Amino acid sequence: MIKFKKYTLSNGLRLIVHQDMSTPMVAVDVAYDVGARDESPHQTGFAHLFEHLMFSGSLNAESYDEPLQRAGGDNNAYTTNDLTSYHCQLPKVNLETALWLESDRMMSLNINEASLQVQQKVVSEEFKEHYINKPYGMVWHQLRRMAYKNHPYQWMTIGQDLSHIEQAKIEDVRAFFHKHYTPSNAIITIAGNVEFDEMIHLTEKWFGDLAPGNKYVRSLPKEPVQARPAFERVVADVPLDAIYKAWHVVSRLDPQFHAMDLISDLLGNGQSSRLYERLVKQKKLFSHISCSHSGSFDPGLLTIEGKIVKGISLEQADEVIEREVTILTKSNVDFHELEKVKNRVESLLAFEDISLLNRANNLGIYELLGDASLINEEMHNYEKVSVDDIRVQSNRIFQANNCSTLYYQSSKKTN
Amino acid sequence: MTDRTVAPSIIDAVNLEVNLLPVHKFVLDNDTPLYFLSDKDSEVVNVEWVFNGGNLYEVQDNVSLATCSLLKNGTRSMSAYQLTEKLEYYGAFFQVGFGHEVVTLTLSCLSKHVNNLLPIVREIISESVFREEELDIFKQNSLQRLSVNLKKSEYIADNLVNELIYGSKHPYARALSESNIKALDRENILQFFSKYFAKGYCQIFAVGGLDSGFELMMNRVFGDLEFAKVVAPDRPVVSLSTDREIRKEVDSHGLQGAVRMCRAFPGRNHPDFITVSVLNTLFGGYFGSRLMNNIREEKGYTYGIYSYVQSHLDAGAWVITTEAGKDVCNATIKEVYHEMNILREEVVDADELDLVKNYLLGIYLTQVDGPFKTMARWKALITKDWDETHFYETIRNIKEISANEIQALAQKYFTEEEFKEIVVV
Repeated sequence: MIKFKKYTLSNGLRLIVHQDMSTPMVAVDVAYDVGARDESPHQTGFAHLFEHLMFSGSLNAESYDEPLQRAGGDNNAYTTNDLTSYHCQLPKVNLETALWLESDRMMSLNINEASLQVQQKVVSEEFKEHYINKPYGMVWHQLRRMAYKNHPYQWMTIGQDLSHIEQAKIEDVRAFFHKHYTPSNAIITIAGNVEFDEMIHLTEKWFGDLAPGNKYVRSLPKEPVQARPAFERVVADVPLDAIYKAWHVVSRLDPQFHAMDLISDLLGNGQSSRLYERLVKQKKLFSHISCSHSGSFDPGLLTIEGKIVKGISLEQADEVIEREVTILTKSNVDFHELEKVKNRVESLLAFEDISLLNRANNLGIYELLGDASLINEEMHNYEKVSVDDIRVQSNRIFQANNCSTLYYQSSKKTN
Repeated sequence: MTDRTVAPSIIDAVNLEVNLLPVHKFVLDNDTPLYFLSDKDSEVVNVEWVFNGGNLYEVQDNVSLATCSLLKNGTRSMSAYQLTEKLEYYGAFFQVGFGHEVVTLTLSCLSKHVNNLLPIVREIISESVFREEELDIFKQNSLQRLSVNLKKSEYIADNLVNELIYGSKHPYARALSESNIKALDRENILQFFSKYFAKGYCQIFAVGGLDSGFELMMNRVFGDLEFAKVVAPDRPVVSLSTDREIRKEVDSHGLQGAVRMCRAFPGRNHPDFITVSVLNTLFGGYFGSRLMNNIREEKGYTYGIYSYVQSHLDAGAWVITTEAGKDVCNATIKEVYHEMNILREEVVDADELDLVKNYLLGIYLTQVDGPFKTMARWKALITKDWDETHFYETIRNIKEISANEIQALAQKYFTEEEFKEIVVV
């Protein structure tokens, strides 16, 4: 149970305070309600590029990092398809430094040509390092494009194309800032040995006089129900054939989300999972196989990816995966096996909570989802999942028309 | 209105106290040391078994890695599936961390299940059997993974660093190879396992929601195993290559080069190992470093550039690592030398030095925050034959080192002619 208290400033900024008396450090997380899904299809990668620009200094703090580091702090940030998070940790005695820095950049970020130009280059190198220059690195771009025709989840946070990043203009950066980086679109979470009243006072002190800005109202194109199977085959300079299959699944707040999450664990998480045990160990058809899902706020994707043992055809690999997922739709999962994946989640959630920063980060995410108190209902939601839920949910997911299949074929003729 | 033009006053982190909470030590009947720290509020437990069984001890190449990778794959009474299913049923995570000197087995689980899990770990440590079939799967899948890694410029560049610094025959530089994998055989693995795990030298570290009497339970489960009193590794001599430059192309369409620069550095017990930490941080060890400011934040050549010192027992290396645009790899190398040169020629100003010291102290404060991190610190110290004196000495050095001492270290180590350059596209 993670205890916290909430307060909303008159400009709309939401404050969450989580007290942990055992630590001399304090964690501060600022979550903005903007992610790659809020970008225009012609300017993808913008939310993430902007995250880089948030470190360019602000009106009264020439540098963000330096004063924080001087106060013994460290920080980072990340952008997902759904949100952008900035977080830092520093000795509690220096907490106000973090509030000063965060409020100052929320109020008046230093946006200039020079920093835009440099960060465009930096992000281009990030794009190359993590995607273009990696074997199989562009797979997820391709898979998203296949699975989503309308919804902006069709591109990655890094962007659809390098050119979008290279063509970003300073006026677009300014407009983005004013649209999304306002108190009414933000949540600040403070965790540590702190008192609620004092945190209200300090947050009012540093953020209270910021103009509320416009509340961003999200209206994203809905993804229509997929009408037929999607299939593509790519021949690429990769050493091994690989297969990727993605199915549309429910959104984060859907009551069936937890069943879906457990299905992905049953299939492909851990060495006793079905796909690993049967296809890697028993049948020796794959050298690697796993199952995961995007966990996104809007309806996401559940994906199985496998690298195929030389001599086995992609078609054969596809068929055995199909057979495994079909088993879940037809026969009930064993109670013991269901308990296993629930125990795994229980353990995972407990380990996540060790870190103060994780707790602050997660409180912010749940508040963005609608209510921070959801954080304390998670385990209960997993416990409720029944053998029937797994079968029913599997039947909704594993339909041929709901699936995108990508064959990634090695151009080497050694197979 | 709040005056934003003035930064809030701070207490410099260098003036805050960093305290490493003491741990309890208990010696099992077989003389195995157990270090533990109990946190009554915690629902979870971390137990680590550290064996002197890294590749410094192996006779056949890669046998240590193979043993580690196969540890979870079956015991006398359980198949690989039965074993992992049992561990995973209790929601436990069991990982094997491979190293040159030590190998670490980590059990992470909910406190309420630890009693059920410890006997399984005992069985893994004492009765693993390495069935032929499991070895075959391991070989096949390792070969496939290797073929993917060999397409990655970073992987090749990192291996080249070790080859140049330690010599390709040295365990510190011993990478997986196709022929090594194919040559692995069950007998060698069994022998290695028996000598360095089942009858090896083991140290145990435990932290989290431990029941009172935890140490007695550990003694019941592990106190009768035939662990050795001590196992010392061979200490093969390193042979520094005379090559200064390697340029290699693995992908003719590659957009980036993996750039590595490195020089030999004394092993971790040399006094300079502690003193260079401030210089390394300032130069390339954190986000605000000179390399990062120049090469990422000013020039945009890369997503990130870092420097670090490898901390092996007998020999080490000072390494600079980055992935840079293919056409700016040479410019990047030039800028690295330029930054070294400035540090040799100019005394660091007080403001920057203070910043780095405060930053580092903040990091150390975080590293001793809470029992889990505290235990991780202790493990790092103890497995390197250090104690808290080393920890406090490191802190003292950060607080006290002067700008002139920093410059002297730069003059000693940032000598261009001793650095090697590697670019792999």
